[in-house]
Amino acid sequence: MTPWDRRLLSEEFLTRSDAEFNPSGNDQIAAEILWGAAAQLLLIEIHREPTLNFTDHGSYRDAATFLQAKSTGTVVLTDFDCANKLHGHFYHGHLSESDLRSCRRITKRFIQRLGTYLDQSTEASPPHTA
Amino acid sequence: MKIRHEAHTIMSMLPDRQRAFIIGSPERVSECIQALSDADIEVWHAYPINALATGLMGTSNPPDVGPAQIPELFLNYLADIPPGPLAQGWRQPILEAVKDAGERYFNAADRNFQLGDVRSAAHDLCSAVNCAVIGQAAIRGWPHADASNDINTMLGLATGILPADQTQFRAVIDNTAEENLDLNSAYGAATGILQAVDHGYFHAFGYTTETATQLARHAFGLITQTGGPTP
Repeated sequence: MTPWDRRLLSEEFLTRSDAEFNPSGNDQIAAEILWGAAAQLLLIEIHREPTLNFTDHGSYRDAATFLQAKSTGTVVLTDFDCANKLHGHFYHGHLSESDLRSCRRITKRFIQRLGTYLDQSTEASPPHTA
Repeated sequence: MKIRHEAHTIMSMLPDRQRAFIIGSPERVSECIQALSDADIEVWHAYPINALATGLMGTSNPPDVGPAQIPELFLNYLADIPPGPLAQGWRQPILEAVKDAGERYFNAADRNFQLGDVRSAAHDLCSAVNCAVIGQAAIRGWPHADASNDINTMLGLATGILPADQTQFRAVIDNTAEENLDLNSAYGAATGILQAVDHGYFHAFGYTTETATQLARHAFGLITQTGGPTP
């Protein structure tokens, strides 16, 4: 997958997550899809940054730590940890409604800020057309 | 009356504070807490720190306080006013006791990490953060009895609006400006440590002893430094 493929997939996951976060939806599935939207953006950075390497789930946290430093705090590590809680919720369903709502809002901030950061990169921009 | 242990720890550290002299000794705090069993629990159960005066006045030997010694908190109690913000003179001792209590939990976390007891350490870290939240709630007269109160407090601190119910929580969190979410983010990340341990994914999600401690200290620092208008 190219970086742009991942950007598009992230946007699609964001839309699907919003659709699933409703009274008739499943909040564990919604949480996982929203986590996926964040993970896709992190994978762009993991794959392009030579000092990062994807080995396991902890690699996402390494990437978020790296990004917080590289973006001088624009991309926030604690926002990532809230996104990570959504991934945990998919497996365990342990978040209260308020916690889930709060993590959802913060994860969206993470995605928005990471997207803005990636916009500065040509690799994550739309492919040029002839 | 069951009082969450973090509130109990904060209360037990108040007598060390000069301006909380009216309480007396740590033993006196225990007596106050015991006396709370007979107090008006329906009114005070969600406000354990604010209820301290209730318990103090309910002991067998209530303080013989002259007008100059009576903090507003006591005046409120004596006037049968429902829980409200702590009087100005009580805020600083509460916040200082919160810092002491937080450090006690951070030290306990360090010891437990060294012993390899990650679960206990994670509980200690979250207790430290809870102390910060409880203190901020108490001085504002907000409920601080449990985790659901805490998450409302965090939103209240971030936005100035303490959600009255779930519907209001949804509305406030969904409409909060991005730049106002730092407190909620720090608190969410810190509470995630304990959830990760309890559900067995602490190491799998990339947490370490150091990162967990950093997250909790970051949240504790942000919350305790929160100023803003208090009622």
